[in-house]
Amino acid sequence: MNEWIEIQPEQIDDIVQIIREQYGYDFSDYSRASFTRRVKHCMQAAHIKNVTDLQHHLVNEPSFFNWFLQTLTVNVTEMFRDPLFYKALRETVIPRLASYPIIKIWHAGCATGEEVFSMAILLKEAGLLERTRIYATDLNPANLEKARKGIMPLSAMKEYTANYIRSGGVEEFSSYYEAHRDYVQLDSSLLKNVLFSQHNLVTDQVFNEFQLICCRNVLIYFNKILQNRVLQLFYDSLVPLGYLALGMKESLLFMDVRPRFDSIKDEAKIFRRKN
Amino acid sequence: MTSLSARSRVNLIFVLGVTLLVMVGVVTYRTFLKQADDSEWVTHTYQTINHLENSRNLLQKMHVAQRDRRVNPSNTHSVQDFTIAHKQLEAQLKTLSRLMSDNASQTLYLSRIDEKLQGAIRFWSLPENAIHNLKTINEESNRINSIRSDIDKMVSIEDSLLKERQTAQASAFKVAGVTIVGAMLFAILITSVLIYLIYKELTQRQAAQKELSIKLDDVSKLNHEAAQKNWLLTGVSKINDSLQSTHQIETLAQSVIQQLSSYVQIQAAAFYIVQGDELVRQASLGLPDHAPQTYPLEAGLLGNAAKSKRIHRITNVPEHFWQLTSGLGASRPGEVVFVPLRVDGQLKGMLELASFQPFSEASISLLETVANNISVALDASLTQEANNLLLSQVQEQKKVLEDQQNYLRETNEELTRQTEALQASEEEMRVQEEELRQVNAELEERNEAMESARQALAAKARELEMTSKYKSEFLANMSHELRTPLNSVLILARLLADNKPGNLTEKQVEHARVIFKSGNDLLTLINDVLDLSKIEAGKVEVIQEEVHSAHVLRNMQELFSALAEEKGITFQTIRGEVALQSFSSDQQRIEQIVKNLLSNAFKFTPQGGTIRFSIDLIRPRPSFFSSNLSEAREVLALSVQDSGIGIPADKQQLIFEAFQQADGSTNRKYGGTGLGLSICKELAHLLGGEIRVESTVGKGSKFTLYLPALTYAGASQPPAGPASKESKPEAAPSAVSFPEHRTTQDLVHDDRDSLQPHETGILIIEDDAVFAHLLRDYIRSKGYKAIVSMSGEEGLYYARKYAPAAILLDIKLPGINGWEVLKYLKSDPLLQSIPVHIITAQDKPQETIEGAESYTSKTAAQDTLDEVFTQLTAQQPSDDKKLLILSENQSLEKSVIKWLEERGLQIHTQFVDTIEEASNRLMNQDFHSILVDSGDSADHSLQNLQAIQVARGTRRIPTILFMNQDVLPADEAKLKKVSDVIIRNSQLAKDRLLDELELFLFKIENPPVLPKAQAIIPEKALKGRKVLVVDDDMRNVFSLSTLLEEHEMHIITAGDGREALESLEDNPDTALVLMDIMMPEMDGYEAMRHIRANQRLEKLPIIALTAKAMQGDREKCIEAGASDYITKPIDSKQLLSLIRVWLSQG
Repeated sequence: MNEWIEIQPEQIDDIVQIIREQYGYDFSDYSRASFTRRVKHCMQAAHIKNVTDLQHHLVNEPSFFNWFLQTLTVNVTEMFRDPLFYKALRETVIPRLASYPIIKIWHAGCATGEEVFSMAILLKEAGLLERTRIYATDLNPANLEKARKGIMPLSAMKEYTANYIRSGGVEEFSSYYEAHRDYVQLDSSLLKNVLFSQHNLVTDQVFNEFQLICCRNVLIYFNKILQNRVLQLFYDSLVPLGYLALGMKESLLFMDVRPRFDSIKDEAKIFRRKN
Repeated sequence: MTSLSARSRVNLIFVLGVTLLVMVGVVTYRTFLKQADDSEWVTHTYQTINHLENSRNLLQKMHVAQRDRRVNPSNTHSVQDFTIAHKQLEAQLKTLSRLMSDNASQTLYLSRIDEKLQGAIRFWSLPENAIHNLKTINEESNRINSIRSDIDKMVSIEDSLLKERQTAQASAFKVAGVTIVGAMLFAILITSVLIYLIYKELTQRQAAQKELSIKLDDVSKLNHEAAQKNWLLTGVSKINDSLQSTHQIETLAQSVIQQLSSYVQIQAAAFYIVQGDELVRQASLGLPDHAPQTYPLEAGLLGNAAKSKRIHRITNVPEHFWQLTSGLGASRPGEVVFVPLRVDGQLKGMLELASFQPFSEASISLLETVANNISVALDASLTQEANNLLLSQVQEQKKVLEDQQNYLRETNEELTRQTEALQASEEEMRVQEEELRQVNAELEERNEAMESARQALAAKARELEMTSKYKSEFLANMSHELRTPLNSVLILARLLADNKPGNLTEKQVEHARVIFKSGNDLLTLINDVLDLSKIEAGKVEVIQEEVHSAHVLRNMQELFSALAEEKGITFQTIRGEVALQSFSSDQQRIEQIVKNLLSNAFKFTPQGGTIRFSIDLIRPRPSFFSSNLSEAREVLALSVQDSGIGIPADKQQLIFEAFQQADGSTNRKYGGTGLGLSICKELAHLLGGEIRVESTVGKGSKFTLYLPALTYAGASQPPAGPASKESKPEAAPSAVSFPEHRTTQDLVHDDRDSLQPHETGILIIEDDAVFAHLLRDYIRSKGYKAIVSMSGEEGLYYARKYAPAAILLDIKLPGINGWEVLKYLKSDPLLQSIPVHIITAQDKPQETIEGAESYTSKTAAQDTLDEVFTQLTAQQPSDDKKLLILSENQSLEKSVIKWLEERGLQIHTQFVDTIEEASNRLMNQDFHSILVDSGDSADHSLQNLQAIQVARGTRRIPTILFMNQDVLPADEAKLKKVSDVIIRNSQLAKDRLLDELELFLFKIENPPVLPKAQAIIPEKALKGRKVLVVDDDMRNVFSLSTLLEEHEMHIITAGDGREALESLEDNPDTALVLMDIMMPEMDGYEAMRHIRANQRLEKLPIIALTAKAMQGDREKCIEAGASDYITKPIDSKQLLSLIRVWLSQG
């Protein structure tokens, strides 16, 4: 893994262009440093020594591209990730969502769905799951496929349970899943009102009106232009007084939409659309 | 020939003999055949010669006949003879040619003869030759002779042939004879040879038979030996089999003994193996019970036998040897045999066998033979046992290893997964870090900008400070300079006013009084300015002395009790229980501050009010600005509390600024220079304390002077005399530019008393009580409160006092007329923004109505007034927010009012409990928002909301629906269409309601203005066509519906694919479908596939609406059955043209 792969910025441009023209995914406004690292990571994983070979694979093998896309995008997720965030959600946002007759939530960049599952559990515990629709979207179809199944490794449950408890959960966490030999199957009733769908934040548009949008640890991979565009998209997709939740290391600071949001919980990065 | 057997030889000779005989026969037969052939040929030759002779005769006959004919032509016999002879000759010749066909020379002769014969016949046939003359005779003779000679020649040839053939025949006879004799002889020879050979063979066989019978004896002997060997071998084999059947030592030993005992006659046996230096018995047969299990290797019979390498036999069994016992008896064994079991010379075990009879040699030899095998088997078993032991150990270890490997593999997998996750996490962290770094960089940049801005500000502040100081100094000097001439003016004015000489008219005296009074005011102002500038310029010194709380209180009581009495105000001075007896400060300054505060309080407190001055000791609060206070142990609080008009929150800070009062108008009403509080503030600051104000509009204010509670240490300085300038009792309001209000009308009862502090009413200035009454009712019907004044002066007074939202002004008034009032109103900066509507009995205004918003004749119909009113209220400042609440639940209003108060929202609520009443109010009044409570029956909500929508018309009034029960998505959609916000009752519904209200009423400054609909000419292609809009995004559904309804299209909606399918079933006349893709339940793709599966709908135009703009999304839509595709956000022009295209196709 110590092989050093040298990639020139122009070559990255070429790769971005190939992907855009051939597959329609636009990475040109992704954070360049991160994108470059991910491309290197992919090349190492696939034992590809030089960029020309990579381009060749990308151009000629759609199946390789699927793998590449899956490996390229960073899918770090866990249930009740950042428990304090979920605690804030549970205490501050969910009770307010209860005042909407039909609740619509958008999880943008849901990866393999763990955070969606967590949200569903919160809603269930608040007695709101029945009148909630969660739209979980991701760029990557493979992620969505995985998320739809609601399957997670058994080994992760310990950590998830701890997270759940720290997020203020008081129910029996194990009642939400069925344990098998080395994986667990999430209670399918939790996903009844979840719609998993592909949505590309770079190219796609507003598709509904939401009371809460969760987009955690996605914006960090974008450059500022794209961040502004996506935040505008979120703004347009929120009802007035709707909530926006970002990752713990993300902020609206210096963003175009900043004046149009109030910070509800600074430490949990929960914002609210002003009007 | 030697290689051939006798029989073959005989056969061969016999075959040879027969062959020879056959050959002889054949030769003989052939000889006979040749002879027959030869004799035939001889006969043939004789025949030929015979025919030739006949021919010659016939020719002669012919010759004779011819000659006869010539000689005697009359003789007919001659001709007859000739003809017969000729015919016979030709027959002979034919026979000859047949016979001689095999002989060419003879045939040649024959044809010559034939030719010549023909020549002779021709000759004879000629007539000239019929004459018998010499010539003819000669000629004739020649011809005949020639034929004859030929015949002769032929005969001679045949003769010679005959001779040849006869000779050949004779020699053939001879050959045949010789051959037959030779063959006979040969046959005799062969027969003799055969007989000889057979005889010789017979004699040889007899000799062999004798030999055979001798050999047979030998064989039977051998057989016997073999049988013995066989027994041995079978034994060995059986024992070997038994050895092979098992590898366990015990069973091996057992089976060896059993096999031996069954095969060899033994009565007892034991099998031992070597273990260390002992022999351990493994199996036994017929041994006594007491026989020990082990024997030492070196001792006893067994030990001795073990030393030997061969089988050890003991025939003379000793007396003491153990006995063979059975149920019937016991006996010493006849012979005991020890068989050592060795492998490569090493002793592995022993076999002890005992028998009554001595062992046979065969048995011993068997034992010898098997001993080795048993040894090997034993050795193998021992080795195997050792191996098994090792194997089981190895297997155990292997299992452990496998477990470890499994564990390792699992760990490895887990590690790989974790590594992946870690790598991803690391990436995320790095990105986060980068993000933070970027934000930090930006922050730093901004910080730098701010720092430089701050520095600039600081520089500015210093500059300002300097300027301010210069200004203060200037003012201090100026004030002083001003006072000097003013003093003379005052003194002179006073002198004049006193009119001691009495030479001034009353009017002049009055003028002088005014001069004196105004001069005095000016002096006060100058003093204040001087004070303030002194303080600001740092020219005021503070003396630390012992201040007694009681003194201060008493002084104030003395100073203000008279004024309190005069104004009818209750004035109390209170010393708090914990207040210090005395403290260190500057009494003069403290009193100056308190006096100022108190005189303010008296100024703003109406008759019957209460003013309280108290001194307390409190704990320091962190909110204090001054570090003297926040760090002090205890703080003195000198507060002045009144029940006056109060100060709005946003003005509370402002009043401390120089020349500021809560309301600019306050100045006029209550007078004062507006410098008092500024001076107080500065003085308090000088004393190391600060002044705070708490106030509620309409309820009163509380000014508190906080001072650090310092105990007086000692009289370092003698207290300065109480040479303070008493603040004068209230000066007359300055600069009153219009007449004072004198009278208060009481003819028309109005709402001034019920006017809430935050409310604004509408002022009517009208001297005709009847019309004023009418206007008042009209205003009330619009939901406003009315204030009625019946003169211009009164009106102006009210205008300032109540700051109405609008003024209805009559022109013809007693005292100052309407025009003047209007002038006053418009010239006063505080009043000029109030819209004024003039109502007059005159048909036309005599003067231009400058500044008035509108004009109405008194005779005007109510309609005009409505219009006027709408205009007026439209311009009304948006402070007063009105909320209409429709609810059957009486307690809701109270709750809402309570909530609004808690939140501090100034919203006027109107409560109705029927939709009719609500509609009525809506039609007649303007509301900023409507709250509809669905109550317990949600069904009515929709109708109610629709009715409200009708009532509000084109006005945009945000409507909030408050509901207690759950609602289906489809119903929610319907409700959303007629309301702006739906609030489901829940724990925090109250918060949400207030948030939404706040948003609607206070935060949205520019309500989204819908672009004015352009005049749309409905197209035939679109008009009346039915369109199904399928989308779960309500905003989208509304905007599409609105757009299409403008084109007079008929819209039906569905929230997801399933609903769309149902809707299509119910509406077969649907002309076009607009289909969203991302929907719950059933998404657009699936819905389109279902639609296309229905044959009836195969050609129905479907336009897909999608937020997705990625490559391939379009294809996916088309593939699923969409006719066309349009991306969100939807461009209405594009959509319309698409719809046009698809509808015109159908």
